Amino acid sequence: MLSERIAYFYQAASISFAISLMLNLQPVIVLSLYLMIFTTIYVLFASRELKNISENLFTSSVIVNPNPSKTGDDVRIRAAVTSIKKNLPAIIVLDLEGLEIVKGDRAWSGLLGDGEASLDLVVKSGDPGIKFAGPLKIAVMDPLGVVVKELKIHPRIPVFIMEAERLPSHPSAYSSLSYPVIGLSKNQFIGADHEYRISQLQEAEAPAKIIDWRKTAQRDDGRVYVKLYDRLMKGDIAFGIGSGLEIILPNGSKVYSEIIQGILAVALFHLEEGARIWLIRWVEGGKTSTLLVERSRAIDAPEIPSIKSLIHITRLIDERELAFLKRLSSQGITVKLILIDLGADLLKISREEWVKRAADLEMGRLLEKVKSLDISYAVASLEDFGECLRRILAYRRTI
Amino acid sequence: MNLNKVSTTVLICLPAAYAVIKIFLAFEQLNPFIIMGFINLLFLSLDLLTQIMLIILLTSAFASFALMFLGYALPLISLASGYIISLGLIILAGTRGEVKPHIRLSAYISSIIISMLFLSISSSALTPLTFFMKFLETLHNPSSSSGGFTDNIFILLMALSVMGLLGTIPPSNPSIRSLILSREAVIALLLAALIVFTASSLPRDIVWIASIILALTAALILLIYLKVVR
Repeated sequence: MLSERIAYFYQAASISFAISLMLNLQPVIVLSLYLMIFTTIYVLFASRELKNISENLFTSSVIVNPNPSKTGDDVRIRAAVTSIKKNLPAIIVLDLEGLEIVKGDRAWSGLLGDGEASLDLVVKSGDPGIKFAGPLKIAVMDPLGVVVKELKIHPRIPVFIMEAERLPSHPSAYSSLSYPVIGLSKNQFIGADHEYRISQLQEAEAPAKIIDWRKTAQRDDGRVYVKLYDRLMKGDIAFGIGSGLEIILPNGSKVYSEIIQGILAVALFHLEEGARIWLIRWVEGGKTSTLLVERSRAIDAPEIPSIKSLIHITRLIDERELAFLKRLSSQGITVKLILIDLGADLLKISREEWVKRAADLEMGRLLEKVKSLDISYAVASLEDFGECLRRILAYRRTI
Repeated sequence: MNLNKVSTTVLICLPAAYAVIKIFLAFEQLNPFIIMGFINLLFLSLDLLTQIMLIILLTSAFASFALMFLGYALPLISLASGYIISLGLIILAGTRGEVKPHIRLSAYISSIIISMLFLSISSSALTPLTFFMKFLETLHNPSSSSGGFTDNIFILLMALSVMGLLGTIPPSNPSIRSLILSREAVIALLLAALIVFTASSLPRDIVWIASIILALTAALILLIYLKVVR
């Protein structure tokens, strides 16, 4: 496509052509016409060169450190691009969503040569949640900068921002426990691809690849021992974020932000182990937006994926949400509801009579709504939400 | 400002400079107020000797006003004429640092139109007063003066200045060198010149239709082609 500068240039030439035609200014008519024809012919020639430019010509990396990070803390982002083709005029831009630049520039322009082109940024966010660095885009131009081809060369990366006290400690070792522990490899949903479990006798002829040579040599009983592996699943975990959560409590807590942080506190371990997290958000107007979050990228999905189970966190404010949940259940998706009871949180702020009444009414409303659905559910206050989510995920229980 | 920028700016200014010389030559007698008015604004727009120029500007303005109240209007008219004559060059000098080519183009076309007005005025002998009157007259009815415009030197300088204008297109380092070194650009320059030359040599009654058709075709090709490429 035409670069923005030349689009304006062409526009100015066209306008001057029209005006000069009206005023009968012959030299200006010729001049404007010449500029218009020159631009057109040049575009035809120059764009042929750019046709061969594709994403495959570029190697890119985007490193975010630290990730996850704390609110208000500096996060360093380094994006680097190298090109197979030399002397390519280009502009590289890194998009940022929800992140504020503290230092550095998110755009680079120049000739892509032998070395790498890099963007070094320091960003921060005062708001907890999932923010995004990327996609990394490159605009390749012809030598005069008239024609531009834009390419996305690196997907966007989720940057997890959490309040300091919510930041989970990093799992350092695989679990040796026999029961599932969140985020560790024995989890029933999540785990390494192949985890060594035991070596046992192999009666039939075993392929050399799986023979436990050390044990076979140690036993010296003439029998062959083979390694057995547990094939653990790297599952997809889907979280639904329903209606009525975009509110702020009298003590200043943002409900939506708390929910996201609660999810992240659990989900980060899973992401570390290679799981994929689907975030299905209920938006105004009865629609959903779906985001697939992996450790190193985030993708907007056009529709709800074919998942087996969904943990849906909601206050059931929107009537259409009930129909949506019923539809999911009828499609064979096991939906588990976590109903956020804000009444309990309000009672911690004030124990006045009207607050108690409001809390009772809220609980009554939630129960009444959920009864119309044939879906297992848990009711949790905002404070207990994290623990509730952890238990549901770990033990598949309804609390 | 580096050499590349200077060379492109000088090239772009050639037609306006030629028009200024022509208008100065057309004056029967140049008085100091005309030259002062011209140099003052030009130097100020070029950021040259700013302090001195400001002093001269204010002094000459006050002096000419004072003389007008004493019954001598000629200095004020001369000073205003000097300001007007510098207009075509000031517009270009003021946008010399601009990197957006469309702004340079708009300034260039404005300067060319002003220069054309000057050239049409310069065909007869001038005094500050007649210059002023004729300038206002041509402003009021520009098509009558530019309809049969034939100043070959001006056209030649315009062709040269277009090179300078196109030299402002490269975003990283505007220069004519990058324009000439690009094979595609040279082909486009020559082809466009050939097409425009052929169109302008057509009979007078169809040249207008031809130029409109050419302009529309160019825009249409660009639109369709870019859509396909994308």
